[in-house]
Amino acid sequence: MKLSRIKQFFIVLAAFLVLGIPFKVMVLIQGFTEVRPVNGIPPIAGLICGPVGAIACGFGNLIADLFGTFNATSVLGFFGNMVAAYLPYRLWYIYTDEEPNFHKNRNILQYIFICFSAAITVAWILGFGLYYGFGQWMENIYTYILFNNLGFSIGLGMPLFIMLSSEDVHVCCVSGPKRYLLMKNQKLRFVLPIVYTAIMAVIFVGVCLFHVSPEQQPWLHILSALGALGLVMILV
Amino acid sequence: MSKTENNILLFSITLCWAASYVFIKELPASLSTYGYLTMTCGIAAVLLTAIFWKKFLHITLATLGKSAFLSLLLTLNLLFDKLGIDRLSSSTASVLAATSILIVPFLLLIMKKSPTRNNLAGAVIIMAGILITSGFQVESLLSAGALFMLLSAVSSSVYTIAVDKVSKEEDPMLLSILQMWISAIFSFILWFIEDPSTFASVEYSNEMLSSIFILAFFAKAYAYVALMYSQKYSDPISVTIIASTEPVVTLVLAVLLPTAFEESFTAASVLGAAVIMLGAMVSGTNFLSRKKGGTVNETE
Repeated sequence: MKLSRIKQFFIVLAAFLVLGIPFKVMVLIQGFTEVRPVNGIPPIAGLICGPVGAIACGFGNLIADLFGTFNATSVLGFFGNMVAAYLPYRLWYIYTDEEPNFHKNRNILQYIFICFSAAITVAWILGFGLYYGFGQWMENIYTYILFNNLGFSIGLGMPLFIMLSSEDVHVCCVSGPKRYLLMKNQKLRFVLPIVYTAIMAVIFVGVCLFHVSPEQQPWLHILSALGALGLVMILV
Repeated sequence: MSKTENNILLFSITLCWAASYVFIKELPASLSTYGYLTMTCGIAAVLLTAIFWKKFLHITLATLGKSAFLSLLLTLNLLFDKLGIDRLSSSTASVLAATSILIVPFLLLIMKKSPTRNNLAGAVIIMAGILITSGFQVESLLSAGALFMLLSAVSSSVYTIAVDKVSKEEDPMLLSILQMWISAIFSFILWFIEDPSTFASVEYSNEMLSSIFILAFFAKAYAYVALMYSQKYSDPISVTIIASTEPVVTLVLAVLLPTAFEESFTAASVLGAAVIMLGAMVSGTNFLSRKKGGTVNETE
């Protein structure tokens, strides 16, 4: 099954709204976040639709925010959800030439790694974005976003993708990224996402297990700067 | 679809159904069981039709008939399930619903399709684990709620075996959509007989509508589509084995969402969960059949 870009955009947008709006009443932090099964959508939207899916996820989140959590910080949600879809698309094709599928156990492990990398990235964008852009540090936001993204992208996104890629439905995925402008070297392309994920994982361990905050720990700023650099290199 | 993919799909259905208890409990007590089924199946049917309307072009009388039969079983299952849950704690309801782990092999035996030795041993171990998890008390059997849950288990077992046959013959998506429509219509007729004011009598609130929508999407639309697809590539025992791990999933959810679940995290519940997982592993392997020289479904 192959769809035009416009159809892809509206299907992802509709899925985002259908899954996002009903859960607005299950608030975790008033005005900021709720239980979000909709976070299962971005990785598969990215893998199937590529950049179009990522843009649809960004706008879908923005529109869903209008039903309960819309404020200036929604701009972070817009970028966070776009990255949650676009990063898996970029990462998948670094490690394989195959069209995304879970027919092999190796691919399942790769998807889990990609989801972990995307989840800690989105948690960092929103958690640290709130701190740097709006002067608010909320450890809970970071933790909830991380587990919302990781849990639902694996628990819901993976089975959903299995159905979509089955012989009966067989949704065609867009082709891989044409180029990695800042990662032309093959070895760098292989190693950088792992290093990037490791940096983000250190931030995750610091925030979630040791409850450190960027107000007290300057090394978090250094790691954040390195992480931001790594993210740009992967995405561009 | 590989076996791992199929197991992931089946496990996700178990996850949806385990989590659905939270949202069912959120519904107002005044909402009729038939109303609940009409709304959840109806929304699921509309959603699936809107997305996969082209499937209707391939509809045949045979597909319609098979879907109607499955819907009848499904409606009975869902009705008894809701009636049971309303009268029991979620842990007791889960235990009784899980008795299908014993009913399915029994029905297969009647149909002269012998389960393997591992299947039978696994089923017995899983049932033991479920009893340990629940801290089972005989008194709980002597209630209308328990009877409803057992009837739900019987209809769900028959449904599992029927789907196994039908999903290999027909389009799984079309089967799911038709089942949702027919179940919604069956339920609406029963609701209308019970209370002619139907939708007008419901106490609407944002929370209630959210719960209905969430249940329609996950416990109905997603779960039944996933079930039809996975059963196409699986067998009834495997489906029931994975579904029987529901108490383990409920326990994990209770730890992750302590305010949403009434479960307590005790030594018995952990031991029971471990025994259930052991049973699932025994059932999923074939070391007993190999030792005795038996084969899978040898009388089939």
